[in-house]
Amino acid sequence: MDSTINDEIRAILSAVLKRPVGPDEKVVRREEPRWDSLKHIEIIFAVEDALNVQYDEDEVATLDSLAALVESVELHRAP
Amino acid sequence: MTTSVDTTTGPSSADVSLQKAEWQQVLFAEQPRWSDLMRLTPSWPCRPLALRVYRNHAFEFIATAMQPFAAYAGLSVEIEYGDYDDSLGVSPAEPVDATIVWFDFRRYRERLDAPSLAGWLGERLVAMRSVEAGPILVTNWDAEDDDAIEFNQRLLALTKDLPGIYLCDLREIAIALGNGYTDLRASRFTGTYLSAAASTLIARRFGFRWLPGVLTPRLKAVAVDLDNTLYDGVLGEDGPTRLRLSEGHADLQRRLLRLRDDGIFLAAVSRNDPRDVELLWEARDDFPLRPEHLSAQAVSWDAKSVAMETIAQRLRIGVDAILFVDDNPGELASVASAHPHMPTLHATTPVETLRALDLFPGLWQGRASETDALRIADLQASTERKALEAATDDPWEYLRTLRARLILALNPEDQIDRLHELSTKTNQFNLALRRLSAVEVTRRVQDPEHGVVSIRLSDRLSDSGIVGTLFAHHDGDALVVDDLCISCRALGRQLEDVMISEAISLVLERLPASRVTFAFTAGPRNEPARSWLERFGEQAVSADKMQVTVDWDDKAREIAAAALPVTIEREGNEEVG
Repeated sequence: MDSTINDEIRAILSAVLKRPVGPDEKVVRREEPRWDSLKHIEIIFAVEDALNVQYDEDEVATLDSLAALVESVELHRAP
Repeated sequence: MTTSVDTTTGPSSADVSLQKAEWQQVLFAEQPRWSDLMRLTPSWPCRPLALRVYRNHAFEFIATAMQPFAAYAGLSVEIEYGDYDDSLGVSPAEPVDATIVWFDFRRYRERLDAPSLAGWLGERLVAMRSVEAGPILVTNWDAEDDDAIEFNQRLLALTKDLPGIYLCDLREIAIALGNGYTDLRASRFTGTYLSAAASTLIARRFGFRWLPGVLTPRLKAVAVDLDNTLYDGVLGEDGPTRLRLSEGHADLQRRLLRLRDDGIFLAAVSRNDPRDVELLWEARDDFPLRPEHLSAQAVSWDAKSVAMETIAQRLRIGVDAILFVDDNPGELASVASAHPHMPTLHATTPVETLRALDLFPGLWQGRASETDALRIADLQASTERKALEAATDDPWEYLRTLRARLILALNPEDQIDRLHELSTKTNQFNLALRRLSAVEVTRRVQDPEHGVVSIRLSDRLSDSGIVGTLFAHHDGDALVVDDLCISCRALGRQLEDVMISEAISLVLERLPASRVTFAFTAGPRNEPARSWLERFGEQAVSADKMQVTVDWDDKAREIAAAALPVTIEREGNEEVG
């Protein structure tokens, strides 16, 4: 797992969900009361412009955890 | 982005100025990035602002992205949302500072043509106006087709006819972004079609322009540094001919001239030898900005905080109404330290500084006022007035030479915006500081038990426009003056007594009374109003004594006996004095 990507997405989740996200913490949408559909799109918007990726519509629906977001960025950036 | 701030005592004004300078690169970027905006949290206190949003699609993205822009403007926004409601139902609710109508007008395309849609919206806005006391901001239709163009033209006319309703132009942003304005992925999850780029640009307009433009006092001046701000180079080292005027700098200077056309004073503040600056203006006739465009210059080796006081005095405005622009963050911090409420802007590249001037909170206003265009010429005339006054020891002769003319109007429905502006923006001669909204002014104009007077002033040197307003109501045998505001531009001509007595006489013809009671509220800057009332009413006025009542017949005779050489007219009527 790329630690830079991981750190960047943790910082985004912390800013959007308005709570600290620890370095080893797993963040999953179904366990986050604030992670509703509107916040989901805010997270997607922030990840896209911070990490220079672009998700398609179907992909957006599957990105429901910190791990899924990190993995998706790594996949988009893979050569 | 990190800034070290001592959170135990709160940041100093210098710290705030520097933190805001750091925020500029995010907030004034050509396209602000969502991820950067999310991380900005102000260290400074912000004024709470309660908004109500009527909507038929999601506003939450805009609200989220708006927060850092509003914080930069000193505002903290709390939003009360209505349900998603295509019918735009309104009902009485708790008062808020402002209301937003956030509608996707494409949803009506199949049911209503553009004229019918505009007619329906007009009816809903009239209903909303009757229950919402604060300003109402209405976004227009953001499509490019003929229906949207026709609808927007009709909506613009509506907003001009209804008090306190302002148009927010989304279509301009839609045209600028083209296909990037919409993001259909978002609509699947959230019911709105706006992209991240559109949401951030719209949020910026709300936070920087539309909300401050109707809720905070407008800035009155921009004071700019010279070296490395208006041009590239240092005058004292390079000499005037080797300074570089790039295309960006020329555009920046032309942007300043447009602000002047809109009624914003321009001033130059520079730590330089005054003679060098004179040579600069003589040598560089390629500069679009000329010395005659500057209403004040403060060029010396003094601290810029002192120079800003000089500029404020020359312009006869408070330092908090001046935006200070400088390329040196140290100067910004130093000035902010001396003048904590003065807004500051870090001049980086000319392109970025120009964009910041386009957007800076307080430079845009909801509706242009006729008075804005008169303000600059009026200040120039004030120098000539002072010379006239100095040339004689006789105040009567001074007034006779001035050929002053007052035009009063009772309950002038066509001047509501200006009277609202005087009530909210006058600080020094504002007797009761009631800060009446456009809606409240409208209600008073239409209420037969109230009287509202506008006072227009001109003399042989300039037309000052509408400079005063009086709000009064009838209470038994007394007329109660609820508020009285006179622009500082009209002070110093010894006309306050005659202006006010004529305004009261005009109301008394409609609402007869033998006594007049003046309400007073002490504020941080309205000492001129307090001392006037104390002299006029011949009674002590203080924070403990907030009302003064005078026998009007005696007072009117006393003022008439002075027989000042002033022409007095009533709008639509003959000369009366």
